[in-house]
Amino acid sequence: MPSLDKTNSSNISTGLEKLETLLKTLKLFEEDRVKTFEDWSFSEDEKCSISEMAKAGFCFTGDMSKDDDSATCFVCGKVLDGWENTDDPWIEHQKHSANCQFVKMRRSEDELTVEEFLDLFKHISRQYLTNQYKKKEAVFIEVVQNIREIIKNQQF
Amino acid sequence: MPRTKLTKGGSNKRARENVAELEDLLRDFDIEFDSNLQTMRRLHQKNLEDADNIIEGFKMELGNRILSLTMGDLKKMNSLNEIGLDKTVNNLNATIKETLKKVDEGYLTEEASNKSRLTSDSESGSTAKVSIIGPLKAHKSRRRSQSANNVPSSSQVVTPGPRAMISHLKMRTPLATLNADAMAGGFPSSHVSRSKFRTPLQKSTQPSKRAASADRVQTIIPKCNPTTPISILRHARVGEVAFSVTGSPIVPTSVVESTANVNIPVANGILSIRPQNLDPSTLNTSLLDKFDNGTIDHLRKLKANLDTLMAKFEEKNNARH
Repeated sequence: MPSLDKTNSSNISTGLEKLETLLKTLKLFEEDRVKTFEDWSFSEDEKCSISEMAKAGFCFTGDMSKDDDSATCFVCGKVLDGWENTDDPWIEHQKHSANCQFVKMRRSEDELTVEEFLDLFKHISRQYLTNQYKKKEAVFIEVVQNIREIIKNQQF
Repeated sequence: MPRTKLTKGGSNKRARENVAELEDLLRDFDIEFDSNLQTMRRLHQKNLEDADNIIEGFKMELGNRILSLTMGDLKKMNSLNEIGLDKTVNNLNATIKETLKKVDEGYLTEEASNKSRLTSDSESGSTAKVSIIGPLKAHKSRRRSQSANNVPSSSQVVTPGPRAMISHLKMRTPLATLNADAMAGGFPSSHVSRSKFRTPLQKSTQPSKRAASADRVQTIIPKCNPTTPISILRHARVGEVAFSVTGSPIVPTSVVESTANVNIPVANGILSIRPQNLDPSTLNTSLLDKFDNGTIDHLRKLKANLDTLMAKFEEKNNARH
């Protein structure tokens, strides 16, 4: 993977660090998705292996100690649990979330062109920003409604 | 015999007033809330657009060759040289260098008005004749020496603003009159300084005239949006006071130029790019340091806009033939 010169300017390097953090949060890269599966029930020679799961866009979001094997797609956010060793991650993904951008492409990271990959990045950063915003907006609306109730119930 | 006095709905009236007041208050509250929510949503949309622009800009920078590679191939590469990215960067350096050289050699000797623009000595690499635009401190330091010389110069950049109006309001001394005359005669004086030899006690005999100030002008309604990618603007007329509504730097020229050119504000002046051929080998690379990231983003968008425009022209030409 080509590396960029980070020593050039502190400004650029902080920007790159931020970008790296964002990419890790978004689980854009397959290797970051693989890292989420620390404790997985299926071995590499089974259909539902860690690498196949990550290839199909899933990252682990469950808790194996509580028997929760949920995995979430990094693009559409679909959460699937109850995996079996005969499950094909791609087929399951398509079955449960046919409209997912990643399912529509149906190719692993290495098979995507740089342009497609960047478009995917654009798509999920939009989703990420929108989700973050919606959370903030919901809090704002709730607080404002509470204040409104207080004003309304004032006794003169 | 006294009897209980009946109040004519006094308390009721007060209660009604209170309710009405509360309703007003709540209505104001709702309006305020709505407008805040709208602002938040607008900002969010802008954030989304910014994020899109960053990625689109990055895609444009990479070029079609890299964009069409697969991620697998890209990962196999050891350095950026293999995909010719370093070449792309060098070409860009060269293009800017050439433009600047031409600007320095050609236009500057012919047009006095261009003297003030940022130019570069292509051989020594030093920056010469940097105009004073923008920072008030720098502008002030120059003002002083000019007022001492008492010579209005035609080659200076007019820094328009409320100060220019002072000349019309405060013609107390011969010096001020001279400046005003110079302006009337077509000399775009860069400033009108206050004379050191002011008549004392003038204040007590008549009320002082108020200097023009941005706070005191009537509301300015922008008739066009200067922030759109392509906008047609006009040059400032001599003696005209220019107010920057959007806070953007303005470059008024005394001579209206007929050729298309690009003026880019950089660290200590304005970089002007002209429609002349640029020799990549003679570009001064120190100029690239003057661009900050924001400027580069803007240039990228500008380039995209020009490309779109040119593509349309080509289309039109093809349709004609």
